[in-house]
Amino acid sequence: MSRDFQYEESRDSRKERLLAIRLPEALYSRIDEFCEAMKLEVPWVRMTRSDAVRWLLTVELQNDGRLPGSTA
Amino acid sequence: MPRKRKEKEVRLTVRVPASLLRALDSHASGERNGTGGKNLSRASAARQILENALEDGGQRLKALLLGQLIVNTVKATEHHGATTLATVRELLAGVPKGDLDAALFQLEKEQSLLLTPNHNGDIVTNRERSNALHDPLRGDLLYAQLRPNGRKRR
Repeated sequence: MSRDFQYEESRDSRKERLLAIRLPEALYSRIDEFCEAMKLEVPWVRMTRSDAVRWLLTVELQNDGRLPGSTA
Repeated sequence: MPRKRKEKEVRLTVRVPASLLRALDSHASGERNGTGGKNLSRASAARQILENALEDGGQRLKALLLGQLIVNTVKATEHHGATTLATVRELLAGVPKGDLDAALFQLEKEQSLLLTPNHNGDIVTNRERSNALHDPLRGDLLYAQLRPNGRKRR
């Protein structure tokens, strides 16, 4: 793998894209409940609904071995 | 025959790293999901992952986050590789004692941290003693030590 390609690859990984999803209302409320629980349990972590979705997807895909890196 | 009422859906747009989208696409592929070559859409894959993640009310993920917070707290406050459990408790004061104790034992089991009754002959004060973690075999554990080659948390 050439150095330029690696550089482009890592630069591309840092780029952000928009993910649009339709969620059933029940799941949407569960995400809200999760955010509320996080606010109570770890008040210094500010977690919005979007943060929660991003974090949940990241952790699950990392556990799955689909996404490199650790959340620690 | 009455038609089944479709559940109301809410549209959500989230900014995510490109690498996350690629991982999501890979997860959504037919090969991964074994749906006979039929691919899931990216949105369906995301929905499925979120449903799995919140299956138990997010307990597993909350435990994971708490573990990460403890390791980061120890990393941020360690002196010669260890910090007192009193410091960890003070900094994570919002976490219930039972949850914190369970998470500390779990981290030791996962070999991310080592809990010890003493460290480099440090003088033990009442502050440390009152925040100790009791272990039936090792007695009162006062310090959390980073493992030099600790297993990376998943």
